[in-house]
Amino acid sequence: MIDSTISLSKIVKKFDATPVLRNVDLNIESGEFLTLVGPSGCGKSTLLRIIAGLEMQDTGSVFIGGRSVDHLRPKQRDVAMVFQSYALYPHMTVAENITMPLLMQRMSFAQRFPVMGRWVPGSQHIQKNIRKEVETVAEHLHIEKLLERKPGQLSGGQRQRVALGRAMVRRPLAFLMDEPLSNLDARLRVKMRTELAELHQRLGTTFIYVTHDQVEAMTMSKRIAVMMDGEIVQLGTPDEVYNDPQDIRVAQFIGSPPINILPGEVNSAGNLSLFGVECRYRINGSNQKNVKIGVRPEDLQISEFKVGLIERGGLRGWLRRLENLGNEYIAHIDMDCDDGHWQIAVRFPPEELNGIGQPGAAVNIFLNEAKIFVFSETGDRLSGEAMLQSAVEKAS
Amino acid sequence: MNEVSDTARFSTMEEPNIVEIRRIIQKRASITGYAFAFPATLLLAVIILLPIAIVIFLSATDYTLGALNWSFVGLTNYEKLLSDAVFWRSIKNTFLYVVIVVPGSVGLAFLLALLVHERVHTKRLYEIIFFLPVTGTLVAMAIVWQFLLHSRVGPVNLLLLENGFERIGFFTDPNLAMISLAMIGIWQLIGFNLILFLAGLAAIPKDIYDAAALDGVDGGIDKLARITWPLLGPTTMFVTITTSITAFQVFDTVAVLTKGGPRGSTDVLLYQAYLEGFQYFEIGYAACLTLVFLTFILLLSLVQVRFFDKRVHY
Ligand SMILES: Nc1ncnc2c1ncn2[C@@H]1O[C@H](COP(=O)(O)OP(=O)(O)O)[C@@H](O)[C@H]1O
Ligand SMILES: [Mg+2]
Repeated sequence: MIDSTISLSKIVKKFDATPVLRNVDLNIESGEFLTLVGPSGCGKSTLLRIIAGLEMQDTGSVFIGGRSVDHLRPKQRDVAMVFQSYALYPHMTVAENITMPLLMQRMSFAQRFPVMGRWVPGSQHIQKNIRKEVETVAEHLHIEKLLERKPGQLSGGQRQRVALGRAMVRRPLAFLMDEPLSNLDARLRVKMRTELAELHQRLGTTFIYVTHDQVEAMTMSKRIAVMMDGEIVQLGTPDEVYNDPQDIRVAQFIGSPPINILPGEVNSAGNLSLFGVECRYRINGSNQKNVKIGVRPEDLQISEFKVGLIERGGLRGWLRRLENLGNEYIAHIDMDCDDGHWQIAVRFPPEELNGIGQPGAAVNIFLNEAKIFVFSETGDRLSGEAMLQSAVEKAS
Repeated sequence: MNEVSDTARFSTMEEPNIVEIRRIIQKRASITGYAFAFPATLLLAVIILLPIAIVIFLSATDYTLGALNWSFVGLTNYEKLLSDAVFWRSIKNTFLYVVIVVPGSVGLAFLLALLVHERVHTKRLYEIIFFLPVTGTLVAMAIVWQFLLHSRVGPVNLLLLENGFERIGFFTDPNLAMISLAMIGIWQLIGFNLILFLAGLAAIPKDIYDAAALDGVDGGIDKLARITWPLLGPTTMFVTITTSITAFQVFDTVAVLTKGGPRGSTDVLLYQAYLEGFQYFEIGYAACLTLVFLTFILLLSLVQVRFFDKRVHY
């Protein structure tokens, strides 16, 4: 089996004095589909370009297939890249676009010389083989009918396939994809997501897939690297990233609607309280006083306001707006407390609607302590545990 | 009138009413449209079409400037033109000038643009320097060239003499004069073409070069031949045609530096037209020459229009 691992070791990159990548370490296994996700401007493209050799890192090393490639030019690194803009050669037909990498790889300068090259020994034979391979790739991608068109005459989805074809035809060790689907419409994007995943399965090569879209990240790969401000803040399965975020930025970035962040207080015994209501949750060995509590919209429970419920640990809020998404509802709730105004979102199935719906009406909110994340003021995850049964179970 | 009949009447009236109203609105709109287009059309006619019509008219007369009597002479002027050796010489000279200036100024500007484009901090500086001749008045610049290249007192010739070479009669040698003028023409046009090529280069997305680098197109010649040159195709076409038109209009340097001499070797089409019209007052004949000139320009413009209509813009 060919070694197509990619390792990054302590990559640092500055543009002028602005640090864009701070000490990035990353190991990608042979044949893995790794998604690199993060907000715009966090340095994803820069990292990909450094792997491809289009940009030089300031310090640190890149290893592809076990060997250091820092001294190699882009074409020698044996990786292919798919650009967000597709970057097709606009003056060439689809066939010529896909042919280009093979042409440059297999033909000598004399053989590929325009017009005259065809009389150089061997060039005809190579040309014929290349043509065959290009046609095979085109068939795989269902673009064999478009081979003689120019990129300007293609739709976004077709251009995307041509860009893929140009990357595939070389059979590279790894594919680097920089937001390849972001220029497509929503429906096509979903379709291409599946196709790319299937392509990865068929080729079995390493894919690094960059996106700022957390849904893409969650659905496409087994492992996600979440990047923030030039650092990889968490690397794990979609499940780990969603259900066990190690940094408040990860928690806030992944999930839609975004996670609710609420102000919590910890007393000297380590007990957590929210809006002055004590929660059944204890922080382990931390001297933090003020903390941030993260709770996903689906981990809150909502019910019609009843005075009795407040005594049993419920919080009071007012319904601002209710969104019906068909299979679920999103309720936006205003919470008022001593230290200001908070807005939270609650996600629940239609069965739990139970008379909620009048904007301005008071509601009770229950926290599922087993599902909350507590972060320090600086955003680091604090360990802790829920105690006894949760308030939600008690209420129901 | 009660409500029911009111609505009833309204519904029966409705259809013809709307059709009628639409027609009136459409008619009004088209009148308004023509009214808005009228001033521009008038200007176009008065400023461009009318003068051309007058030139065509004059070319069929024997009118001389200030003359009281003139008559239609039909195609006589054209017959005279075709058998006039001076005319053919001016055509030949004009083409010689165009044939040197167009490849020279387009090619050099292209090469310079490739070099200047690579500069990061000094790019603006080079742009300004090369653009200076464009902003300078050619007549004033011509005087500087006249001094520089003067056969007796010009620094260039003094330098040649000092180093043991013969003097070169840049403007006095009939074989050289046209070439000297063409060099000045190239010098003057490079800056403008350079700016156009630089704009063309800046419009090529950087991604394409990145993709090319990954595909193995990273050598200077490959990059130039496979990416840059083809992508600058439309720019090159545009620059070539505008330069051709400008080169065709060569007049200032001829008028200031050589006056068509020595021995008619720099006598170009526009200079001929100027001589006939404003020195010999043969307006009819001058109009004829002007029409020949306009025909060439028109042909070049047609090439340009056709090319940019047909060619797919990437
Ligand atoms: N060539 C460059 N020169 C200067 N700054 C750059 C350059 N390329 C990227 N940057 C900066 O680096 C940061 C990260 O950019 P990028 O890697 O493109 O982010 P992402 O792909 O995650 O959106 C941005 O702030 C961007 O402005
Ligand atoms: Mg990017």
